[in-house]
Order: sequence, then C-alpha cells, then structure tokens
Amino acid sequence: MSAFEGSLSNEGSSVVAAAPALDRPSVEVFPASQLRLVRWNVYVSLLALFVGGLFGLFQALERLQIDIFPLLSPVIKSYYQGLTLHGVLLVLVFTTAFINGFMSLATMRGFGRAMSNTTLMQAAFGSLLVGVGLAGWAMLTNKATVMFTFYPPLNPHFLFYLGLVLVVLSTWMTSANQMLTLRDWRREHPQERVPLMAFISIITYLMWDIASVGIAIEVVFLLIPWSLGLVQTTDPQLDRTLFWLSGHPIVYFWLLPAYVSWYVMVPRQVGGRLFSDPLVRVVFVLFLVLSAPVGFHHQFTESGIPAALKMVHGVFTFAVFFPSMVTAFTVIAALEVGGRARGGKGLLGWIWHLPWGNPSVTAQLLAMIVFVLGGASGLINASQTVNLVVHNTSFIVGHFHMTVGTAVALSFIGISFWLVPYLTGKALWGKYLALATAWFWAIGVMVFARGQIIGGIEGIPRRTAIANSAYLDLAPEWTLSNITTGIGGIIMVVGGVLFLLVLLGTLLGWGGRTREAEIPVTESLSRGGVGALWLDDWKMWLVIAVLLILIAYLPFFITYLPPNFTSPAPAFQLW
Amino acid sequence: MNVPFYERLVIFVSIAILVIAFAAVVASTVIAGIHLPSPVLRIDPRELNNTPPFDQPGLREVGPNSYEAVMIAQTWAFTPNELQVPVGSKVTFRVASKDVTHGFLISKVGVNLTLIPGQVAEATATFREPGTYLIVCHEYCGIGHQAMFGKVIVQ
Repeated sequence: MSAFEGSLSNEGSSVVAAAPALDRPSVEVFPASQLRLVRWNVYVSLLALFVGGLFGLFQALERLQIDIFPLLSPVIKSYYQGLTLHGVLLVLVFTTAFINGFMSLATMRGFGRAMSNTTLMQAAFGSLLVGVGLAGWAMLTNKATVMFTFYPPLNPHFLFYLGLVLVVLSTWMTSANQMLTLRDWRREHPQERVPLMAFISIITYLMWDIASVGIAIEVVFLLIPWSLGLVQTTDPQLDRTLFWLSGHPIVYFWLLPAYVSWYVMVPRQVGGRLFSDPLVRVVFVLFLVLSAPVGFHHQFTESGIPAALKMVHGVFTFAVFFPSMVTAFTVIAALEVGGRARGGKGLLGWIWHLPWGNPSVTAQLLAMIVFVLGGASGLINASQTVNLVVHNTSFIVGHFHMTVGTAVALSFIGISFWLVPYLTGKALWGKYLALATAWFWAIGVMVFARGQIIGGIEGIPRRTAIANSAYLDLAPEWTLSNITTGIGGIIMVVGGVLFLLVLLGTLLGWGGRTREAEIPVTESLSRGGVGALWLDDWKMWLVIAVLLILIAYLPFFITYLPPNFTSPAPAFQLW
Repeated sequence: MNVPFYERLVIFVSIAILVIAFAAVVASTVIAGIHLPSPVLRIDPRELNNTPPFDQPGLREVGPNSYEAVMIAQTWAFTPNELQVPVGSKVTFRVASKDVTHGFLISKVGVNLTLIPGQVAEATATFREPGTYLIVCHEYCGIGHQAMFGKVIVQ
C-alpha cells in the first residue's frame, strides 16, 4: 500500500464516498460576446509570446557569438532594444492578456454564470489593447529601451509609461468585474460557500490589486510628471522601492493562474481528484497575505535600505515559499489519485500511467517538474547572504526562465491546448507536434538554465550583450555556460515554433471541428466542512494583507523620507 | 478543520525546511559576518565631483594591508578602472554613480552592489589569491553597458 492510499484510509470512507462534488452543475453556455473577449485576449497573449520569443532566439544566438543585431538595424537598433521587447512582451503582455481572459473564464465557470458586466470586460480588453499599442510603439521606435523594470533615471518616452498604466488598468477592471459577479452570485446564494474555482480566481486578482498600488504610485505620481518635465528630478531609490512593492507580487499574479489550472483542472484531465478543498483555499489566502511584504529581496544589494529591514522581508520571503511547498504536495497527491485510478501500481508506478499522450497534460506536468528546480533556485535568491553571490547575474535569468518562463508559460501553452478548441470550436490539430512542443520547451529550458545558473555563479552579468562585452577575453571560464545557454535557448525556440504550427493548424481548421471541448473541472475528495467558512472571508484577508505591507514598508518610508530628488530626466536616454 | 495525517506531515516538514534554511542565513550573518549593504551617505549625483571623498577618487592605504578604494561609476566606465594591491589586501570600496544606476560586481570575492544615483555604496573584500579580478557593471545602464568594467590586479 502506498503512502497515499494510507492517507485515504486514514480519513475513513466517508470522504472518499462523498457525492461527486462538482463546484456547479455543468453550465458551459456563456454569452458569445464574453467568450469572444476571452478569445481575443488569448490571441493578443499568444501573439506577444511569438514576437517576444523571436527576440529570445536572437539573444540565444548572441550567446553563441552569432550577432545578428547588425542585420536587424533598420528596425531594431540594438541588443537592448530587442531585450526590452522580449521582456515586456513576455512578462507583461503575454501574461496579463492570457490571465485576464483565462481568469475571467474560470470565474464564469466557477460561478456557473456570465460575468456581470460585458461592457467592463470590453473596456478591460480595450485598455489592454491601447496600452500594448502605446508601449509597443515606444519600444519599436527605440524610445523606451529601458527593460521591463524601467529603472529611473533611464528616461523613456512617457507613452511607454502610459501604455503600462493602461495594461495594469485592464487587470483592475477585470478584478472589478469579478467582484460584481461575486456580488450578484451572492444575492442568489446567500448561504453557500463561494465555489472553489471562482474563489481562487478572485483571490488571485485581489492579491494583485493591492500589490499593484506601489507601481501605480511610482508611475503615475513620480515618473510620468518627471518624464513630461513637470518636475525636474526624481529619486531612483524611492522609485525602485515602489517598483518592487509590486514587482515581486506580480510573479504570483503570473503563477497563481497556473496554480488554478494545476489544482482544479489538471486533476480532472488525468482522471484524479483534488485532495483537499480547504487546503487550496488556505494556499491562495496565504498568497494574498504574504505576496507583497517581500520586495526588498530584490533590493538586497541596494545601499539605501537598512540591512535590518531587508531581514524582515527575508523572513516574509521564506514564508511565502510555504504555500508553494503545500501546492507541490496537494497537486502531486491529486495526480497520484489519477495515476492509480488508471491502473498505476507501486510507489511511483502511477507516474507512468498518467496520460502522457495528452499534450495539455504533458505540458503542465513538465511545467510542474521544472518548477521544482525553479522554486529551489528562488529560495537561493531569497537567502540574503547567498544572494550576494548571484544578485543581478545570469543566475536570476536562469531562475525566472524556469518559473515564469516555464512553470507559467508552458502551463499556459498546455491550457491553450484545450482552451483554444473550447473557444473556437475547432479541434486541436497536430497532437504529436503539441507533445513535442512541451518536450522541446522543457528540455530546452533545462539546458538553458544550466548555462545561466552556473554562468551566474561564475559572474556573468545579466542583461548584457555578452558576446560584445569588453571583458569577455578576461573570463574564459564563461565560455561553456554561454554556449549551453545559447543551445538551450534555441531548443526552447524550436518548441515555440512547433506551438505556432499547432496553433495555426488548429485555427485554420485542419483538425476539424469539435463540440466536445470543455473546461475541465475537478471534483474534490473533501469539501470544506465546518469551520472552513471563515476562509472565504476575503475582506478579513485583505485587511491582514494591507497590515503586513505596512509592517514591512512603513519603517523604511519613515526612516527614508524626505526623498532625495536629485536625478534629472532628459539627459538619460542612453540607448 | 479536518487535516489528514499526510497533509499535516507535509505542512510540518515544509515549515521545518524553511526554518532550518533561514537559520542558516541568520548564522551566515551573525557567525560568518556576511553583511548586506546598508545606508552610508546620501548625495547629489550632479555634484559628485565636488563631494568628498569622490572629489579625489583612487586607492588609499589606510593601514597595514588595508586599503580604501573610492570609485565613481558613470556611463560607461569606472574611475579609476584599475587598482593594484598586494596579495592578502583588505579593500573597502566606496562607490557612487554620477548618472544612471550601475552595478558593481566582483564575483570571485562576493562583492555585489547596486549603485543607485543619490546613494553611496560600500563593501569590503579581502584578496587572498594573486590574479586579475574583474569588476563588472551588472545593471543595465544604456547602449554601452557591456563595455563597463574595471580590474583589481592582485600581486
């Protein structure tokens, strides 16, 4: 008997024998106007993935001393302009557009009803589109080669800032729409628990709502007036601190939608069941509460912040690692139920009985496996003294290509393997190409991360046109890491090209039409039971989250202010 | 709430791992004496050339085998860009940026600073092995970022 079977029998048969507990009866008829908006969000997202990924290819080639940026110079002026497009398109556009669409759909499916306000949904998509247009124009015309962190006093065109504000605004509108839908659902179901899928989708956005206030203040009140010349100077240390108040929680805004899929969709796809409904709620509530008071771990090497306060954020950073560890257990447990139901035996034999022939499942399983290593490298970043070895080196790049670049991106690719058929009525074309997409991506990122992780420990700086660097001859020990990075990146790009083919074939109707595509929803082995109702009290968790942000940040602002406004704007367009 | 045994076990083990790992981090500060950068001095980067000690950048001997290196970072160079010290020297770097944000990484000795305009940054390292140590700017600072470096030559 395996460990997991033991745990089931521990719980007694009542749990296992509980009636099938779908969150809602199978209501999958939503307004076409809303499904169309979800679809367009997914299209914008995937377009950003392909364009952003293309620059990844150029960067990988650069690591192999094949510098094609001179050939691109009529359009793209430099490595850094390409790198800015790569970063902004992938971590801000690909993610946000996909999440706005996918989480809206998950909210609808969770509640079993349409979003309350179609106009707001249109406005959110419009805001995103205009925002991407403005920021995209600024980047493509080389007026904003400042990376997605846009650290002042580097000084982009103000429309770059405005575009990003509109992208953030689209997330706030999506969140507001979720809350309206929750309100309307609650009127009809005064005593019921919030359905799990809707609850965790809403919590994902609430977490981001409060966390994004930092970046909103930075851009709207400090950077836009400064870039327009309304104020003469800015304080880079203050700006950065506000940036990272939002800059770490944003990674959970990317990650939690993947968790939604891992928790309540993938188990269904593998024939398993969710192990524990309340534990999932606890995990998401912990992210709501702990995601934001951790920003200083991105600022360990900055001398404007006292070391003691960095220690406080260090503690919180370790704490926010906890819900991810629980996720690893709960999700794997749900997979094991599925693997055993499909005939798997022995301690690990169930793994081979998972549906590895299903591209959507395979992509997400591989994303999970890579995430174990990505998460572990994150704990290294969070360990403040060890951070001194890796901070701002290519180690960080290796880390986040395993996390957002694979755990999130490959999950979203896996989700799109059922989502695009669901939204278009066109069956997935090219099953084996889709499977190959996942394997190329996962193997590619492992090779890539080997190069970047070891390279970082050897001292390779991140965000640097390394093949053109003036000091490459002085560091011959970097060669192997650079070659590995380049080859791994190219393998990932092959995965991306295969994905593009699958998508094109599907949209062109080569796979035929399907009426069977559905949103997978998992049954839970245990419903919350008594005492779990307080978990759904999002207002209480919101208050606690704000309190922790104040505990983490007030001591800094009290000791730091007044600002050191000494950095002028117009001189610093240095690209 | 009804928490099954294996769930409880995983929760306990997860917390234990995190507590032990964090204890190791605290130990590396308290016992091994590895400290993160902390506030040194607030300055006006536009006036850096007239702000002591940055009005006279360079290497100074402050004690037996002990040096102070005052350095300026600006696009896209360090001033001075080469330091020569004997083997076993302990060097305290005082660095500030004159324009945009730069980085200051000496990977082999664990010096890792972000040079934010308006803030003086400080770190100390001991150079025990002879050789050339790279100082690399590891914060994107514009089109010439990859040209920005310096050297510590230890003889």
